[in-house]
Amino acid sequence: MFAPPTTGRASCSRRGALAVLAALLLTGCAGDSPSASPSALPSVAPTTTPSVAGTVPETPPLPPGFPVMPGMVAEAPLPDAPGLIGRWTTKANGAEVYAFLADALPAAGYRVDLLAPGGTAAVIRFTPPDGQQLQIDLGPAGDRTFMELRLPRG
Amino acid sequence: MSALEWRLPLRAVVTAALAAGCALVLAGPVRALDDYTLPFYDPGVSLSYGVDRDPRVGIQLDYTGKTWYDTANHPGRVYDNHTGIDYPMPLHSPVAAAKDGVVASTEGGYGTQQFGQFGNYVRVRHNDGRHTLYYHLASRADGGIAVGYGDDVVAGEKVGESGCSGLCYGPHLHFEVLVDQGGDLVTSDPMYRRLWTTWPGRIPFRAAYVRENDPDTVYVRRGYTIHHWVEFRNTGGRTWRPGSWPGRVILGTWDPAMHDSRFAASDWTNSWLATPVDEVTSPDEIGRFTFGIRGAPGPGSYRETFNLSSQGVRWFDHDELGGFYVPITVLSQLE
Repeated sequence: MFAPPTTGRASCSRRGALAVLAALLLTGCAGDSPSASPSALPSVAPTTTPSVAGTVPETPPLPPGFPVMPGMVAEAPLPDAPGLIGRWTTKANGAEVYAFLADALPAAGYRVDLLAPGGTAAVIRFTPPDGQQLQIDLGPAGDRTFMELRLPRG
Repeated sequence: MSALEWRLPLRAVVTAALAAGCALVLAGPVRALDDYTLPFYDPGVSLSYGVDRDPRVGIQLDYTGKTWYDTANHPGRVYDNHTGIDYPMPLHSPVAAAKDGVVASTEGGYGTQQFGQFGNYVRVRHNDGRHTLYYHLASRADGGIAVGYGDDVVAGEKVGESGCSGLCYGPHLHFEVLVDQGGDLVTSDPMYRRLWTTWPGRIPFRAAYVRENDPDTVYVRRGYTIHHWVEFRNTGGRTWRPGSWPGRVILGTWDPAMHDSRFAASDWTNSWLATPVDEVTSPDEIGRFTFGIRGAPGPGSYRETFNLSSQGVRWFDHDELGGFYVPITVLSQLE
């Protein structure tokens, strides 16, 4: 059973600078080893960095309490993709990841706006309290499953 | 035959088309599939992904004609190289035949939620040369396969229950309409150009109450019969017929279903079947059901509850009929 995380997610959130990412890595907030408990938030992926020094990226930070399945490995650095907040991979299959999120997102206090399962793809849209709607994409990544957190797209 | 085996011809066709530089091979004759309905009963279900009509990786052509030059998932539209239509639904939701046909193949040996290359399915061959595929079903042992090879199925008949077997990211039904091209089953897109009259989606059996000749209490003297009619709009995808099974839609007693009625008149088919629909009623048309009410019981106030049924296939959702019933007051013969 997933228990909503209680750790201070703000400290693990992106502020849009590599310096912050480095600090997070040093403090262990972005460790990629599997965790025994999903509430431990084992992997926090960094988000995109500003392309021009001094500009404020439009991509929001990782929302507080975002549930990450145990065993997920965060990708860092992230590919340069608009709206991408985080990307993880896992050995768990797509059905397991989907099921985890379908339970964990509401348990974390998020409103689930869309569940769109498919054969080798799934999209979940959700809205954190006082936040903007975000999207999770699932798909195959070789023999693993990837999970991307991003701004919604069409 | 496994799912992979019968899919091999499709892969061969796609490969050949790619080799020939053909962008769009998801063809089949494009014409109206006007007698197919959606393969489930819940009107609240809507697709999560449709067919990608472009077999090239990174180019997606959805059912609206929009092309997406990416590999992203587009909920409500398409994902890359998708060969069917995905309908999200909880595990063990009933899955219905989209059209009359014969069961051509089944697989039910995989676990209801067993993830892997292969999953459970039912494939039905139709008399127009097409096949329909119902995939990711629950296991046979878990009630996921309701039919067997060679079985005749009628449109709207339950063929199985949904699951999440095979390559499945969340419970859903993967549905395909396949065209037999020289022995090769080639996937087609029934939603392309909205030629499928189920657009934006018609489940097989659905109706809405319209009116009746006497919406208030019906009065009938004891021992006498009065005639009553009620009209429903056919909001489903199948034509209602008064004649022989299949396709016959009837008005029968409800709550409980098929109970012996104390008001059955001589024109009833039997003690629970009041009447079939008076005339052939196509989708969107209004069908009338005329039947007698006989004042058999002693004087008093009663009610008789009715529901529609596609006889031998499925009862309608009684709530959608407004919980239809007839208040009946039986008067003494001297009143």
